[in-house]
Amino acid sequence: MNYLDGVYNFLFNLKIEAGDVASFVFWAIFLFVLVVFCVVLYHWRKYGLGGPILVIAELVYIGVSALLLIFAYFSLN
Amino acid sequence: MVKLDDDERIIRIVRKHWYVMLGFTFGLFVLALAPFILAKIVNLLELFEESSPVSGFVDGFIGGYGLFAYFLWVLVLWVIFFIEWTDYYLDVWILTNKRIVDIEQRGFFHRHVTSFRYEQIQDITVNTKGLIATFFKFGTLHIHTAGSTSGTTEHDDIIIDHAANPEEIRTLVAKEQEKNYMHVKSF
Repeated sequence: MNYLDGVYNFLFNLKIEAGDVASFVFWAIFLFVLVVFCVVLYHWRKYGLGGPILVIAELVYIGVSALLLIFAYFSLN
Repeated sequence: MVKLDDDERIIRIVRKHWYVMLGFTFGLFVLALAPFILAKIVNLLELFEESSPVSGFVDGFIGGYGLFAYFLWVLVLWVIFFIEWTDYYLDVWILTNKRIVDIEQRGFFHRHVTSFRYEQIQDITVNTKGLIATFFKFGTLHIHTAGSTSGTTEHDDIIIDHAANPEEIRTLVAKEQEKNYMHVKSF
């Protein structure tokens, strides 16, 4: 037995369901992505100089984020 | 978006060189690979005995939630990349036919905008230092002004680090300065 086993035993005795923690983390990160997107979008629209690059940036951000969220969600189930 | 006068037009928009983003992107790429490197190190050093509960927990986690955690990790890095890119993209110099507008984005909620007319420019210095800066054509542009319209300081010099094509910008500013001087002189 070393100190890491002690940590493990402590965590094990907490009886936290791994699935619940994973679900919580998933929705917390989903919220983080959403909030950052709103802030970033506000800045792009208000202070950006327009042009196609911002439209492309919006599409790439949403597209890849959605894809990674979908992959994470399905790897959970 | 900066409001321009009716007879004012944008000549050039100057940003930092893309090389600035390259270093940051490389850092994120390394962080994206970090879980694999870390797992390899743990395996190589045999930090946990095979029969220990920690080892069982780690194996169980990687087997059950490893992929899930990895996708979320990459997602967080992806968001961080866009936060940095926004900072890079909104940090600009706008050269118009009347003035230079310096917009400095320092994070999301700190924005510093200074504008000054060409008549206020006293000197422009370009500093290109090192092999990479010379090869990729970027450097520090320093505009010494006699005073700024921001009203915050008496003498407000404008400095842009890692500016793309600084020599070209200097020539352009000098040309516009001369044009404005001729225009003022004609009155």
